[in-house]
Amino acid sequence: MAEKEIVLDRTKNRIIRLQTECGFEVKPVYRPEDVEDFDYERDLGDPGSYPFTRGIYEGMYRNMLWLDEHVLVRETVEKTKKELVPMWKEGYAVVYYSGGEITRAGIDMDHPLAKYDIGYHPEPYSLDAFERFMSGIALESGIFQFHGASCQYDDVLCVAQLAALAERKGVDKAKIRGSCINDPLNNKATDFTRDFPLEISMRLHGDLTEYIVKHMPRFTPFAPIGYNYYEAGCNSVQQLALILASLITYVEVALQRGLTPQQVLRRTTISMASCMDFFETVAKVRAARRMWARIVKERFKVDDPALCRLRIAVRTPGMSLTKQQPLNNITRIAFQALAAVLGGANTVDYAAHDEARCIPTEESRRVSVAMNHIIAQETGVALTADPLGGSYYVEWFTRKLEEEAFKLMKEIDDLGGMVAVAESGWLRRLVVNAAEQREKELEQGKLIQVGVNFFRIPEEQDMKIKEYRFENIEKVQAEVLAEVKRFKETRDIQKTRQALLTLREKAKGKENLMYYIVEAFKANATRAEILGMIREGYGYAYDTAGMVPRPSFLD
Amino acid sequence: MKKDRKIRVLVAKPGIDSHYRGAELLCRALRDAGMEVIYTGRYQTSEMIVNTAIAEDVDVVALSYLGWSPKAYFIEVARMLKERGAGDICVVGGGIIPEADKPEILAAGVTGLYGPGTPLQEIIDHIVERVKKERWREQDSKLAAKN
Repeated sequence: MAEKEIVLDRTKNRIIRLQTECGFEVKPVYRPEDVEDFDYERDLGDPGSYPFTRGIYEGMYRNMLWLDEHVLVRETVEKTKKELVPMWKEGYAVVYYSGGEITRAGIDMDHPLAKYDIGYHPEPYSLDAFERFMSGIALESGIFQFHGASCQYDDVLCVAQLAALAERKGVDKAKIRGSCINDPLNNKATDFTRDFPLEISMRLHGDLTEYIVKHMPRFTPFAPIGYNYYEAGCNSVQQLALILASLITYVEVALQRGLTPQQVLRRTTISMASCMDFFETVAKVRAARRMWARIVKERFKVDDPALCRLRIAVRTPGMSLTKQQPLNNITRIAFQALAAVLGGANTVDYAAHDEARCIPTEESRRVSVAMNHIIAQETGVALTADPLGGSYYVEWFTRKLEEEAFKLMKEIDDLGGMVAVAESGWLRRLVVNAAEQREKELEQGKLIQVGVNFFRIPEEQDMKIKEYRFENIEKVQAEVLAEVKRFKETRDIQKTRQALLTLREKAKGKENLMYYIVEAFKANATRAEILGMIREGYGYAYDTAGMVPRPSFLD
Repeated sequence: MKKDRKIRVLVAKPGIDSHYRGAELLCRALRDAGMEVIYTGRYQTSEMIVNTAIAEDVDVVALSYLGWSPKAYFIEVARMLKERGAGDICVVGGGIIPEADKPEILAAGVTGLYGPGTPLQEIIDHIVERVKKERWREQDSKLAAKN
């Protein structure tokens, strides 16, 4: 019997989704009337000119390429440095560090909740531990990126440790460059890590901002993280609105503390996630710059164009990556990063394609680093600023995002601002509903993910990749615990006690706590002890999890 | 067996992992599927989870953990349930679980392991199957033997 013939069907593969990722209906073609009354000077301006739609610098990437970031932390400082040092020598300038899960949770390594999470991330639990990570780096030369994305006090503690280390080494703090996220509203909205009540977080936020502006003028005091809203399920409109509304709040806090617009608005920075919708990412980055420039001019009545500039870091989101057919994630990250560059991002933070499977391997990290070079050096997209500017579709999209995001910001204003909607639970509900909406769209096949709800292949035929394996983890865990014990036993406990009790007293008052946190680190206090004292100063229990008592030396 | 008997599930987050989205989405999906869901919230030790599971007489413990060592927690919870005479409670786990760790976790008595992108229906189907075909049938036959 003859084999049945295969019928080839050219029309079988059709576009499924006819909306942008954030839900705007898209027409088959865009024409001049879609961007009616478009005015070049008013709506775009040249790169480096108000409203900065085309980029914040005149020469854009020809003068300075975007900064590329790659998160890389291994089990131990030694293993991390083994991979990082060669990258630094090749021109990578970023020192990216944050607490691991343990210190971000506000506990020390000898806490019962920490037992299975020890040894995977060098935790900066003390100034000594922080110094071990930073050893061998000329502090004035690096760009320190602290990523307290999921927990605001992580930034407070990292910056305090950096300042304490600079003081210990006799380095001028004013020369240190970098940024931190310092975005407590975000933590309240996404409820990511157990954090302080908003009242304490907002005070620490203001303390940190003031400290940085006064003592570390080359450091960015806050960079609200739109990325987290995206990862939590928000769409691009919500991401834009929430992040710019947060920025307004933080600028207001700083101005209320007597800082000047010149001090506060000089280094304004946000981060956002790229999304899989290519033009949505491009339009979102452009819209954010224009919206912020207009907010500074119209809301804060600041006319100096240099203070209207918004620097944007774009992160390629881990959430968009799939466990299924993991090599496809290289394609995803490349499109997301390319869109960020075409939108005029100042920093691009690359995910690794194996992230949905394991901790990024050395190989996947190399792919991301090389991807950055391919975009910068091979594709030619960096040659001229805002190459998509003037496209009917891109300009329509940019304007539509701006309009919709301003509408949502108006709603937030009418409800009393970001702090009010964070306190009332409105913000959290918005985020949870957005996540459910996104999940439904994926379940119903309205939002496509290749390998997940489209073009699936049986699991046993899926791509095999090398997964990162932790080695000798029990040995590392024992070493870490022994080290923590030794540290706690050999420090000058009277000094530590004095610094911590002073911090607790100061937490009850109004002074800037940063100075006392820096002193506590220099007196060898641990992160959990510092946080415990702040909590007690406010009348809360010492331990964030309510499981362990205050150490007896603090009684 | 009562016709309207509902499957009781404890959704639990062991350790300090703070990624809550998977657990919350799972809670919603299980409730939509007609189950009774108890959520522990975050920051639980294995002892706390096992105590709650036994006190609440649940049919299923669903562990959600996106931290470093799913293996350690999943195995520990399954082992402690057995030690407390509650080894018939079905244990499933979700997170980023290294392929190489899976055989050992499954051997410890965890029956379902789920990574990112798993259709929620797959988890629901597994739970219904395990509970109705094994736990409830066993309970019913024990009851019948008594009578």
